[in-house]
Amino acid sequence: MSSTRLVVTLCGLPGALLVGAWLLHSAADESSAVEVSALSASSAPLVSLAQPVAEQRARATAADAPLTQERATLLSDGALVGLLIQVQDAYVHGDATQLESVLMRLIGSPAQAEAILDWLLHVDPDREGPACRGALTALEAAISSYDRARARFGDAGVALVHRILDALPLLPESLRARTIAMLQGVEGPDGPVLDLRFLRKVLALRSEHPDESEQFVPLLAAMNGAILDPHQREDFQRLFIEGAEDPLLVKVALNSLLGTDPTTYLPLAEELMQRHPADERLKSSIAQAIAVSAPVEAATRSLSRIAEDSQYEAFAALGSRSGAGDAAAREYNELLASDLNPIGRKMLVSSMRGERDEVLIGIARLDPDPRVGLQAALTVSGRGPVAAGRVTELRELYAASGTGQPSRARGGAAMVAENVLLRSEGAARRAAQDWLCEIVRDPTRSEKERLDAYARAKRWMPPGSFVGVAVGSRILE
Amino acid sequence: MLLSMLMLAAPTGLGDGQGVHGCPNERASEVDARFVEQGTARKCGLGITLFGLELSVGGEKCFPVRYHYPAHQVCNGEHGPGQFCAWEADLSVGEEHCACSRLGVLGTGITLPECVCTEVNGGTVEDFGTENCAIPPWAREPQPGGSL
Repeated sequence: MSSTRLVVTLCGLPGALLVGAWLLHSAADESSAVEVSALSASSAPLVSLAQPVAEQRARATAADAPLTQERATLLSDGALVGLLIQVQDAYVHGDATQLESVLMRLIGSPAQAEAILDWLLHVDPDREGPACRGALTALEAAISSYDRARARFGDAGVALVHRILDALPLLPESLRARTIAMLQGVEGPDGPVLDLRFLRKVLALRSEHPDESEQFVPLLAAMNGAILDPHQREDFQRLFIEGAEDPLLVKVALNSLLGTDPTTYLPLAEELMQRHPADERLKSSIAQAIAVSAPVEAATRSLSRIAEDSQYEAFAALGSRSGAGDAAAREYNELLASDLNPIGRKMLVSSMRGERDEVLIGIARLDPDPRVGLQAALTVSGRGPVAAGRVTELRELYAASGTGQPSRARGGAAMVAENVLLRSEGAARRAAQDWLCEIVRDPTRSEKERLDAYARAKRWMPPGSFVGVAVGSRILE
Repeated sequence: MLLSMLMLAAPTGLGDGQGVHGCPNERASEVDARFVEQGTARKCGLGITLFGLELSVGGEKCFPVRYHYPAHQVCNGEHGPGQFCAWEADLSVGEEHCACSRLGVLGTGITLPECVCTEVNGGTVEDFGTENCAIPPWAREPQPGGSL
């Protein structure tokens, strides 16, 4: 095989670039192989670019890419781009067999995967869109498979993630965002690859590149779990203090701190929430961290104390934890006995997805606050199919809730009936259709209620179901 | 136990009227619509086998549950001379249950994994509005209250 030097123009900018770092796996690619064993970082000519960042990228690549023995035989740049486009093509056509075949030629060894990263550092993502997307797919497959096959590849998956993290500041912004999204999605044998092992690296990235630090925050999203290392604990404490108004940073920090020291951090979390009454995203992040990470009993009490009706995600997370059903029922009972905190009761009821139908319908019937009653009816009708008899019970409940003036207690009936239509079939669905029709035709209800019910009903009803029905001055059909 | 507590509590009743004595000088505050994902995301990627290992590449992240909060108004103590903040409606909070599923691309015969969601009414947010204190109580819309 002879040495070949390629002179190319990339990114629309003139310059001579010594390219190629591509190992060959198949004989078919032998013709496009380039031998670079004689090169060194110092002798490699760099692209002469006007932009300092591009120059920095080029220099970083030359300096960072060690020319190992394994990389002695490499693909030409053109061959690499061709394979990366094939990756993208196979992916968009859902052709798993072709994708496997091309990936084996591209990422058969960790050095090859690093070479894909080197290529990305020089590419213009606007001109090489399909190849860039193929490169990210190839890197994802490389990290995932190396991390799963540790017996064969050792720590190559982790090393590749470190190299990609190092390269992030050098990537063009659009490509950087896509690379971060790719890293977030890579899964290893134990869940997301981007876990606590990379906390220090990501924090260092944030502090070394303050102008881009916000872009790196999503990299922290999956860094949950018990903190065993005291240095990591300090990192999270610092993160909590530094990022006190950034929803994702607060969530990441609290997720770890609440699990290890709830006595200290639960009051701090509640206080932080109270200091930002208008910041819905921050409040949601804090509530979710409490729901997921604080001990179940303490989390239940805390969440009901700070409950707002825009925290369904937190109560759903709480409800999915072991023991949360009993804890929520106990807390609900205590609040009910003291006739306190209806919003807390309402949100606790939203978490009671494992509770029996009878209990939820009992709450709908008997809780003195209509908001709690409606939530119980929505929880029972929205969590899955219900029997037709349950629909009748719910309908009777709403029929008994008062006539005449438009009542808040009656206002949610259309939502409950629609839930049955969405979740149930057969007799239950027919009962829900009748119920919605009744609401649409009921002259004692407000126009707003009737039109809302009509909007929900019409996709489930045969055409002509409301011919001649008038709501105010409007004839529905 | 839960039901017996309810029986005891039921007759007491709760009103949630504004109970305004004098004008509170408060207006309703806007809250933007919001979309929140919950749970551990799965990737709806293409399943492949590399080095004898099954893995999934590409594809969108798919959270098991997503909530849609509509734009609404709340009472957050925002100053509004001669005004008060009053309940107007309960708005539906959309709750989507999502899972990866293979969907066909129209006219191509190709199927790709996508995150497919079904929505229900998961709950409600209270929507408030701003009322003028000068309007006499008998001219206002009836205030809500009472159990189901």
